[in-house]
Amino acid sequence: MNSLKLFFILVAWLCASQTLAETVLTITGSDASGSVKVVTFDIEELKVLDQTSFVTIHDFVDEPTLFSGPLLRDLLANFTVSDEATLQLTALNQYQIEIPISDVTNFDVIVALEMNNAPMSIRQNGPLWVIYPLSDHPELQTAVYNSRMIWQLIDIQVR
Amino acid sequence: MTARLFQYKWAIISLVVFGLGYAGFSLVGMHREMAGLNMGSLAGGPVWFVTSVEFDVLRLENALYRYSEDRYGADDVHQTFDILWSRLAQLEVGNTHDKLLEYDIDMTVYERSMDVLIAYDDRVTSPDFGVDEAQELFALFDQINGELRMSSLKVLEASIAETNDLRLRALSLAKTALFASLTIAGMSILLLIVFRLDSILTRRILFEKEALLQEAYAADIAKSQFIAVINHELRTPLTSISASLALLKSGSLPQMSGTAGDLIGIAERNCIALKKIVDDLLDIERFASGKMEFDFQEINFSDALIQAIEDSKSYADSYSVEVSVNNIEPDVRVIADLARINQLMANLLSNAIKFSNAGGQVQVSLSTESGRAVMAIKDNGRGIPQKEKTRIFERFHQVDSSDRRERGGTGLGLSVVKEITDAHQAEITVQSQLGEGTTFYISFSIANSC
Repeated sequence: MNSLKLFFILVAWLCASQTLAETVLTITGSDASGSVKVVTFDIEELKVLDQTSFVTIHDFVDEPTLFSGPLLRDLLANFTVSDEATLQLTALNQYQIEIPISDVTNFDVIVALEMNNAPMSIRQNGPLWVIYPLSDHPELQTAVYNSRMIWQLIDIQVR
Repeated sequence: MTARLFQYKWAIISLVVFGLGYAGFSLVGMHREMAGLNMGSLAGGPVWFVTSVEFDVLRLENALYRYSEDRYGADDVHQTFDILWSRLAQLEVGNTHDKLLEYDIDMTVYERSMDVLIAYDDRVTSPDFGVDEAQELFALFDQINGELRMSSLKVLEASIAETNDLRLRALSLAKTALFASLTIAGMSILLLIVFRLDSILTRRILFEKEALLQEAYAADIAKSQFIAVINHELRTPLTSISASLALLKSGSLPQMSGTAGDLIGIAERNCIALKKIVDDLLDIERFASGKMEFDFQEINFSDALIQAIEDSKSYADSYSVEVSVNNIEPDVRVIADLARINQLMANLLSNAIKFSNAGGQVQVSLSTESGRAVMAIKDNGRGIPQKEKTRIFERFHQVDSSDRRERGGTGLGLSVVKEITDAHQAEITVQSQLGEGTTFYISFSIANSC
């Protein structure tokens, strides 16, 4: 009886935790048929994806820093994306930028979940920060690519 | 005009190379300078950052205001609070921080804003964050707002000054680019002109060459016709005159007076000389047209030479020159056309005799050396100047035009000698000292040495 009770409590907790999981990223694009497709992720869903890590320097840190998270192109894998597509990225404060899809296909751009192996709070520009591998690609070490590293990312529109 | 311009072709090409080099050098320098300009720094620069701080302060104020009116939840306040926190924290690190220091911006207002956030951190994150506290926080930032605006303006001012510098440098680069482009365009036009001139002149030269070739061809035909005329119109009567004179001289006809006999002798000598000239001319023509035929056989070169010396004696006497044998090795055999070898030796001997001084001596020798027969004919005449040595075998060439008057001859003898020597794959060399004499050496392969 007790174990049954415990089971129900566990199921209830799991359901609650599922419904309560907060969406941290919404991606809107289109599927193969051309219909609008919206995919949302909570932080746990992003964590279970393949993680890519690299140490890089950029304009917003003082020293080379380790970032890790899923590749942006992996997040777009279930969408139909043309070679000329543009991604419109939106931050928590509604700041928006656009980046060409070629950035994502040519370079290992990640949506970082962790900085130096620790999750990032909003105060640390988290929870999601788009990071380009600048240290691995010196040609990216320009103001243009630094400005594309939007933090507090919440939304991606494939256009 | 074209030709005169073309004289400066290399000067123009040098100018083009220099101009293009200069333009290229300017463009490389410009590229380097452009890379150093970092124009992109203006896009996401500190102005954007400090303005964003102002924007996020306003968002926080807006959230606090709505919270105090119960239109926003605590989460909304908390989020805008954290965003402003992240923005102010970002001012402390990275390039923006460095740039603000470089602009000498007073950071006090940002530090004070951060202090306010730190002071209210616990209260804002507390579930019982009160409306009074929200209004209090709103009022604090409302006071700071003006200072933030002033600070943003200072950053903008510093940025404009920097932008101005960048703009001036960009303008200078644009001028360089314009100058380089004009230089390249100018040089290309010059190059085009040079190539055009080159093409015109090349065509003209080709045309002239063709005309010259046609003239030469016409001249060649005329020469051949002339030779044919000589052969038929001059040689035939000469042979007839020569034969008649020989008959007269042989005495088979009634005896003539001494004076008439002398005159016939003179006529015969001149006839022989004229026949020799005609024969040389015909031979040269045959050599030139490749129609000369040779009958190569093994001959006794020593005997042929001795015979040639004998034959030349009467001619030598007429010049009061002695032809002496100076060691002729016996029975030296070579593969040769005897008639042509006789002609070669006769020409060389008559030349040596003709150009020797009266009472002089022509020495002839024949020796063998390393499988070759070397014939040497040495005179003690006036010698050949160094610069003429290479030209003496040319047709009609004589060392000094006065020679022709003094010694006679057409300048064909040595040319015939050279042609015969070449046909026999023999070698002819000449050594000469002005005022001392000349020696011709001709070397043949020995027949039995093969």
